Amino acid sequence: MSKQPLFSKLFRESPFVAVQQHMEFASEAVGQLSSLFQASHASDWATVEEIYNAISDMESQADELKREVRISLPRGLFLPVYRADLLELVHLQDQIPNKSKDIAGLILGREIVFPDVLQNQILEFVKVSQEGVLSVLEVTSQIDDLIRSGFSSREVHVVENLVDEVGVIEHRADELQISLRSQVHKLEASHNPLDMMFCYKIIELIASITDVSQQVSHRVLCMVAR
Amino acid sequence: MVVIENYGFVLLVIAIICGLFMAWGVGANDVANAMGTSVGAKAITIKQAIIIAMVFECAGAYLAGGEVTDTIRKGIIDPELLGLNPELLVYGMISSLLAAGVWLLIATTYGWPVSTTHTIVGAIVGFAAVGISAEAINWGKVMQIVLSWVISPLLAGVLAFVLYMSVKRFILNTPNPIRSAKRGVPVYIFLVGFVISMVSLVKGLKHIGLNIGFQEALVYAAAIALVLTMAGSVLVSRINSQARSVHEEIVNVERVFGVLMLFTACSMAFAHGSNDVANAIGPLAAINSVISSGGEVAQQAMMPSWLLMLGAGGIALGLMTYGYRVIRTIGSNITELTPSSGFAAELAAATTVVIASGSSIPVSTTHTLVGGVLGVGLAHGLAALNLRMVGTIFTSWIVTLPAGALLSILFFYILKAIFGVG
Repeated sequence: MSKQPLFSKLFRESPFVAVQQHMEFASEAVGQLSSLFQASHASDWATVEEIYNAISDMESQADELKREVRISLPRGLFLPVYRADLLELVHLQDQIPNKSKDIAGLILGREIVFPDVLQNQILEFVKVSQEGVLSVLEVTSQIDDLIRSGFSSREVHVVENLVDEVGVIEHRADELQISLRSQVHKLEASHNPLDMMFCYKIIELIASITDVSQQVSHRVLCMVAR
Repeated sequence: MVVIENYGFVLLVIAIICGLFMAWGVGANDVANAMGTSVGAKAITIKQAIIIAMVFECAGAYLAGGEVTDTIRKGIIDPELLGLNPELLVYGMISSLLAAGVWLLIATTYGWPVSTTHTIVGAIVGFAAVGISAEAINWGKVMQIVLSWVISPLLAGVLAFVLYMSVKRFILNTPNPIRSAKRGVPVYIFLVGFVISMVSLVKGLKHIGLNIGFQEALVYAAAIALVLTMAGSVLVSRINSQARSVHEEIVNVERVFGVLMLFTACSMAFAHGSNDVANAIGPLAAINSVISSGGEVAQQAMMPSWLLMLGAGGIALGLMTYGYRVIRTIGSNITELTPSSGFAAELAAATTVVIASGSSIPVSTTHTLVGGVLGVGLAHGLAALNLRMVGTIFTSWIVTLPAGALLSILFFYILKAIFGVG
């Protein structure tokens, strides 16, 4: 520390770096869900458990980063955005790995296997959810450029367009959710009611990931609109 | 008088060693702070930083360092009271150099952000007030200097704020930022060249024998600035104007500002050399003028330019032997310091310091630069600022002055005991 010139000591790690890294962990956690559903459909519970542990790992690393952002955030005079906005953003982002872990935990714990007829749709639903998260990842990765350009209107415009894209994906997810629900409804008579309830539950959780993604993208927009 | 006759040469040698050591220290430790913004913003490489520092620190020291050195040499102490005991001045100045050296060593070990300038001034005031008499000090000048230590960071902050706001308005927020940058940056380059040249020409070159009038200086400064602007424009024109995405656009705009930062890095090194060489050479010059005149403490004596060259050389040596290692530690973790924001801090700081040098006032370059960075931080938002460090800087002010004074008083009495009075 003493060998460093005053200049290095004047600066420290930017909290925005941690915020962006946090989103990357969140997206990685969601990324694991496809293989999880495929493994569960094959009743390969050993693999499911492995994937669950991987997701759990990412979730705790995300928590670490969230803690770091909260602790190291300065009191605001030199922040280019509102402190409360930034804290809220991280809080929202953190729900993504949390929900991924919930889904994985439920499937592992009850050894849930979705009915064959639903399998393809479920996989597609998960894929749409992942797309949503990747889209939001792009939004948060714009934060660097936003700061560099001094929040120029052109860059804000780029962010606006990306947020619109997330909205489009969320709309698709909504439609898929409606379709899936009606499929499950048709199967209710021929399947164990408890199993069906958990189907609904998991569909709900996957949908909520996309909802949160959209909320995150809107929060970023609020943060940068001036 | 007797002491000077008998021990003059020995004392001069001791003084030169101490002075060189101080100059070395400035090069080894302080230069890194001056180059910090440019290196941190990745506008120049470490190698480029060192070359720039070597050339421009020396240039600044030699061409524009005379006035501040004169202040340290004879502006703070009123020589009339020394009369029959000129050796006291010699002891005092050597003590000041030693005190500053020791304090800097302590501070570096503990990682405290102390200023060489503050230490030397505190040391000189210390030995003069206690060792000679409180009336020996030109308190008006001292007050002026202390006031400027508060004003210079503030001024740099305000300038930096205004500069960055102008960048935001005229370049970043325009419909075509790359085009605006290519047109606007040469204007800023002209500003850099003009201000630095102007102050140096008007104030600095007297000791080389050149005495230039104000109007002449305006013309020369404008000419120099124009040449620099043309050189800068050539560099800027090589940057790609087309951008396939907003991201690429932002990257290219930053590249244009990177060219500007090359010039502000030079100006920063120049300003730093002009103000900080005095910390090492000022006391040495005082000693030299007493000893070489056989004991006369002449107010009117000219500053020999070989002394400034010695100072410049010492700084270069410090930079070569140790400074490059320190510059290298300026991390790449300064992610939020971009060329467009960093240049504002640098230009503001360089302008403030050069004006101070021209007004013959010793200021802390590092603290002025911090002021500039804070100014940009307010305008642009710098979440990565370690505000606690800024607080530490302010408290170090309060500690450094008495520390330097106490140490120099100590060394003063030791020297007095060794070499005697009379």
